Amino acid sequence: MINSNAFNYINVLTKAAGASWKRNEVIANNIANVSTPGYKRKDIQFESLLMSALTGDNSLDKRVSRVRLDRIEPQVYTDYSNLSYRLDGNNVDIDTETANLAENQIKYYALMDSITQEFNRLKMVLQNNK
Amino acid sequence: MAAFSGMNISASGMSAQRLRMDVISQNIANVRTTRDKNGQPYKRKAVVFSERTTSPFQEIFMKTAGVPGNGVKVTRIVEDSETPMNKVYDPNHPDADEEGYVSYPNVNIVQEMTDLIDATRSYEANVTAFNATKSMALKGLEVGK
Amino acid sequence: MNIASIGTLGEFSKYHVGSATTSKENRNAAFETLFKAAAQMIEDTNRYTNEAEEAEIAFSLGLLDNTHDLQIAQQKANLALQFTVAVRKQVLDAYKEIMNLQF
Repeated sequence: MINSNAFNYINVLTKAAGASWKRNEVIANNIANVSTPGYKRKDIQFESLLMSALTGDNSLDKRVSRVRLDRIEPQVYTDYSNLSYRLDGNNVDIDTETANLAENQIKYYALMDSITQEFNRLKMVLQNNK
Repeated sequence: MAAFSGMNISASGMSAQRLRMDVISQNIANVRTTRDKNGQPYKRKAVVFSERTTSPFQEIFMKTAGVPGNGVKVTRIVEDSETPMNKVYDPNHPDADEEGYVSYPNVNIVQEMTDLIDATRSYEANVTAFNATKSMALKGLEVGK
Repeated sequence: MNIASIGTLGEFSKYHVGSATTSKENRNAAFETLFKAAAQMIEDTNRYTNEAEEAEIAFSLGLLDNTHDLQIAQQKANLALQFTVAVRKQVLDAYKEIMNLQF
């Protein structure tokens, strides 16, 4: 029987995928602004928010069913660290951004795959009940 | 936020870097131009980048709230008046001034080539970002299949 | 007991969870629990289908920023509908069995 808890894990994965998509946009903006004087790189904060929402002593199933997904949104923050040697005040390092882009892409693929596997498991239950 | 704004952002980066490459090419082509259409020696040009915004409200919004941003655009192409012109003593040149010095453009070929390589690298990084966005979108379409 | 009115999927919407409890004395208790869950499923399936269709329209209008939201909404609606159809089949089979027993 389907109940409202059947899609809990999928909802969490969807939220993470949305954060990954937004991070891709932010990295693309960092790369586009690599030559803009005074530009500071931006990034997304999401994993720490999700982790703090999933704390608890219960089993993972209970914690996932209790999490309030509408309260967790990926946040854009500006990274003001000035560790670069550039004179125009821009702290974007194009190699770091390209590496982050690849890592984020792989993460998004993995999330999409996990969501597909979850759906396939639910479909398998249907097929075995005929 | 428009649909697929990640692609628009990368496209704006590509356009901006391409414009920068065009300006650098013009500098290199005019490295020995002592007289342009105004009769003055050619002055080195440079581009000025800034973050692209759609409205003044969005500028302030971007500073306070966290918005991914909208890409980059070239706001203006300026002439470089700080680097001094290249003066060469040649009294027989038709463009020599009263003291016999000819003003050659203040274009440094080595610096222009370095800029060109940097612009090419930035352009390629933007292309990589665009391809990443496209691949991710196509992968998202295959969920559940 | 008005089992004869159990017909197509659309008629399930008449049996809200509330009306199932008021006529409890006329129903087989084991059948009733299956029935209540099935009625709840109709509401859930409706909700998922509506969300999927809204996502389709939003995507056509260019309001959605990514592709996975649309696909996930479609898959959820499909799964919910498949579950509901499977439950309806079970309910109908149970009804046929009960009808066969009573005569």
